[in-house]
Formats: sequence, C-alpha cells, structure tokens
Amino acid sequence: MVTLDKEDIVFIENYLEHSDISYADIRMEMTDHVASEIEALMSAQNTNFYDTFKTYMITNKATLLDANKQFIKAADQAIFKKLWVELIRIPTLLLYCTLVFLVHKVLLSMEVDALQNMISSLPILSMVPFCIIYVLALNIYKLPRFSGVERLGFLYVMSFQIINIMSTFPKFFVQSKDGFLMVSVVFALLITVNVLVIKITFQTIQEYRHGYKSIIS
Amino acid sequence: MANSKLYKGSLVTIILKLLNESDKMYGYQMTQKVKELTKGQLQITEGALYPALHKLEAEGLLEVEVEKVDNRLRKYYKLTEKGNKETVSKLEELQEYIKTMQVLVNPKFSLE
Repeated sequence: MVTLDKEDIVFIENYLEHSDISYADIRMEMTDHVASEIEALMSAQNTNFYDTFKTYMITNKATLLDANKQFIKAADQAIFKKLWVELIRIPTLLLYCTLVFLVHKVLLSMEVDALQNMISSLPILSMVPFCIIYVLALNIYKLPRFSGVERLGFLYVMSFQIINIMSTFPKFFVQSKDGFLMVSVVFALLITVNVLVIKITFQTIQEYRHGYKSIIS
Repeated sequence: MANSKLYKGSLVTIILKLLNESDKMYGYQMTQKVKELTKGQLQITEGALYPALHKLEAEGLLEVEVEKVDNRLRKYYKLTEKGNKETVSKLEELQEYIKTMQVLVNPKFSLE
C-alpha cells in the first residue's frame, strides 16, 4: 500500500484551503479522506501522485465542496441546538426568574431618564462581553480556525440583532416607573441569553481542546 | 450514496452499527467498510457521511480523537455511552421497519 509523503499531504491541504475549505477541522478531515482515496488509487493503478490527484479532483471536487457546505450547515445547527437545549433547562428558568426579581429591584432605584439612556446603549453594551470572551479565548487557547468556534460569530451577530430589536421594546414602558416590571422581564431575558451564549462559547472551546489536543499548542 | 432515497434514512443507524462493532473508526474507513460489506452495492459519499458524523458528535452520541497517522492528522470517532444506548434503540427501530416492510411487500412471508 502506498503512503503519501508530507509534501503530498501539504499539497492536498493547500489545494483544499484555496478551494475555500477554510475551517481547520473540516479541512483536516477532508485532507485525510482525499489522501486515503489517492493512496488506494495509486496502489491499485500504479500511478504517480499528481496524475492521480488531478483525475480524482476532476470527478470529486464538486462533491467535496458540497460536503464543505453541509459541514458548515451541521456546525450552525449544532450551535443552535445547544442554545435551545440550554434555554429549556430548569436551571436556566430559575436563573431567569431570579434575574427578573433582581433587575426589577435595581431598576426601581433608578430614575426614568437614566433608564432611557441605558436602554439606548444596551445593544452595544451587550456585544462587549461576547467580544472580550471570544478574542481572549482564541488568544489564550490559540485555537486554529475551527468551524464550531468560528460559526459562533454567526450566533453573536444573531444575538446582537435580537437584542437590538428587543431593546426598542422596553422604551414604550419607560414613561413612568409603572412599566419597570415589563422592562425587567425583557432585560432579564437579554441577560439570560447573553450568559447562555458565553457558556456555549466556553463549552465549544473546551470540546475542541479535548478532541484536538494533538494539534493545539 | 447509491439508491440514495431508500438508504438515506438509515445512514445514522449504519454509522452507529459500524462503530458498535469496532473500537474506533475514521470517515474513509467507514465508506470502505460499507462498500466491502455490501459488495459495492452501497456507497456512502463524503457529503452525506461527514455532516451526519458531526451531527451525531454534537448530539453527544460520538466522541472524537485526533491522531497523527501517515504524515497527516486523522479524526477517529467512537461511541459514547449515550451512543451505545442509541445504537440499540436504532437497530430495534430498523428491525421493526424491515418487518413491517416485509409484511407489506411480501404478505405470504408474514404468515410463515
């Protein structure tokens, strides 16, 4: 059985990277798949690496690119499923109820003008913890471009949009202190979602650190 | 996958069954094993296999391990405890399905 040398593997990996298969985990698995196929073909047909690679790519490149799209779709689905599972857990509901109570207490000590100003800056403020955790986690753990981690950016953007829309909603209730309970309900929900997204970020990073420990420095 | 529509719904069961019979497997190995067992009748494509593996991994049914093999990194999959339980249930489900289909397609068979 033929075994490809390191240069051939690097060649396959570079080819896949230049074909927009940019996530490290997806590319790693595809490189191994393509290399295994090519080794089997080279052994069976007694051909050289470049000819075998060229023939293989002519017939299989479209399938590989489609697989890449399916991979990304699967990564997105996995992230949203994690968020949904976290949302419907009893501890999350308890956290939410506690937050409603605490936020309401804090808001009652505020003036209407101060709360209106705070609501305006809420979308930007809500992004700060996400960005800090994402950037710090990547720098501390030095993860390559893993699909699960990079696709979290999509979740952040979605969260930002939801918070943006929801932050306009409490403004209608901030005419007097009577509407503060409704504002507390919305605020508590935003904080809960923020906490869950941060938790999922760390979980995902830990999963990659565990599964890919041989390639993470 | 050949005969794709008929086999598509069974892909997860096929993966779980393969992993149930060996300690750990990688993607290409699974495609070759299926090809060998079915004498080439069934061929799993990368586009179907890998997203299914990732979905099972996200559901906690599979765990992964990356090893350096033959100048490259290889991702191995193995069943978790939850995955073992799911395999039993999926296989039972499939057997029930096969029985039902036999009754429908070949009513005489069900009387024997």
